[in-house]
Amino acid sequence: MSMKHLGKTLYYIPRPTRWTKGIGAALPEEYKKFWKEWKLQTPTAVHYIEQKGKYVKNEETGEVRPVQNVPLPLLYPKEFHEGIWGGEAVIQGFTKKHKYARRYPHFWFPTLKKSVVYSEVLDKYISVVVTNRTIDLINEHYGFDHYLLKTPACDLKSELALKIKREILLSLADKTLYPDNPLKREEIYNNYKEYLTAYTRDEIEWYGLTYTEACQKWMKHCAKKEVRPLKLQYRAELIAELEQSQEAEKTITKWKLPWNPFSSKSD
Amino acid sequence: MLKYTQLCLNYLKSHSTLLSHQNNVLVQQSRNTYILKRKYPAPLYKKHQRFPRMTHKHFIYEYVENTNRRKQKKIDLVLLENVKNVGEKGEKVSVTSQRAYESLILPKLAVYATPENLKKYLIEDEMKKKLSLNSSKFVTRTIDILSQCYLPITMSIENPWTIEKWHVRVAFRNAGYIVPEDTITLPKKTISGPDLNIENKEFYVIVKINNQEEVKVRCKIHHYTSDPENKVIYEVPFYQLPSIAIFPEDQSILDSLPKHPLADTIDDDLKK
Repeated sequence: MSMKHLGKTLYYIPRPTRWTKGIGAALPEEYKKFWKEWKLQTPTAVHYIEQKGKYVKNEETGEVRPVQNVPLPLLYPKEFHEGIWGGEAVIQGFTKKHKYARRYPHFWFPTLKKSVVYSEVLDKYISVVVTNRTIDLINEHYGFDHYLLKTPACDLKSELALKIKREILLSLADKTLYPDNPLKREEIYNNYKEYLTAYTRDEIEWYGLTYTEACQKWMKHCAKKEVRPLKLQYRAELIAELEQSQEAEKTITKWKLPWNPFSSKSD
Repeated sequence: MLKYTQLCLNYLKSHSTLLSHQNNVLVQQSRNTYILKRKYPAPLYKKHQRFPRMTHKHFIYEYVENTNRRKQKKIDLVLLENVKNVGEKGEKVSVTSQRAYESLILPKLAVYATPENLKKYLIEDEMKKKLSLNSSKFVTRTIDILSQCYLPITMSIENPWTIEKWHVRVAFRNAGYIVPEDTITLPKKTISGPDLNIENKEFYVIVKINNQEEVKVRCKIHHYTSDPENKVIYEVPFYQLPSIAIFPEDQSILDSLPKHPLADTIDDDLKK
């Protein structure tokens, strides 16, 4: 690192964000882990072709260049969170047809269609807006539940998908699936129990919540705890200590030597 | 495109699947999934940076591919029930991805061909299969067509006759089906005429296909003469005429045969 950048890092003061103070800072690590998986992890390449390898050689000139994949920025409209688009989103950009032609703004939209998904764990048919890619992914994963449970949050992205995933994880962790049919319950549970090893119970509790929901949950969680002044605790401790010392005084026995030092040897 | 839309809708209506209650999907604006690339590649960034410096020209994109234009992938399924035009129970079939999902996976007519499902549901007993198999691939279609057909048997109004196998054979030939005489089974009771009481009344013959499958075919008797004064003429189409059996004991069988596709709509119109 050159001196210029060293100076920048030494005098760097991080910008205050919602995670640095207030409720955001107090949120548990489990939720922060989910947030990183959801928002900070790079999703798989859907709208561009990812270059493989570390370096690439230009065949003509022999020039070697490092491979750096810069993803296309995507837009997530409000409707995105009401459907399951399988990683697709809206792209905003420009088209330019000729070297001397003007660039024109252009939006590329995914093909949406209304369809139905079936969750085996919840035993429910859900009517949702999907894309062809979603259905292909469901088929590749051999079912909707497998698709949700295997795919990280950054690829599901939409709040609806994450909510369903949360429901599935909760019902698996608590084993509340198929309340009337114990045989079926065991069968389904055995199919999906391997996914539970990736999460602890607390992580599932905080999985799939939006920031506001997580804050509300945390506030409720804090309100449940009864605030007890410390003086009560110290008073109780002092009383206990005093009682102990009194008992100790009572039980002290006289210190007695096993032999008398003043008796003569002849005795 | 419009024709295809209508076909899809009719398909959904007739099946009354989960999708049928939803709004018209295909009227939506056509939008596509694109794979794009930058016209001008983004510059390289240093190790301490997270993103390169980008200017407006890095947001000019070029079309690479539209994934919806690709040929659809086929996926393997194991059928749980007999499905028309797809396969029989316990059979492993490969169907295009979208169609498999909508018409087989969602209504639970099939499961994905995972190793566990193959072990559980696949029926590989070849003898069992052979017994249940049809004599030919096209037999189901032939049965469908023959059982729906209203076979007009045109007889003379002047000369006396008794219905024989060759009358039925000729009637089949006029309707466009080549049926050998030895495959036709006539009703046990004889039908003879000319008798205007049995005009436009029905009976059924049994046709054996490939010496294996049997179909009942509905036949209607019509009296014919070249004299225009004595001709029997109907103003409504043949499927709209009442279907009455010549032998009352056959009535239930004739009613159970599938009707002309337009017969239902006519009934509805008449009721209105």
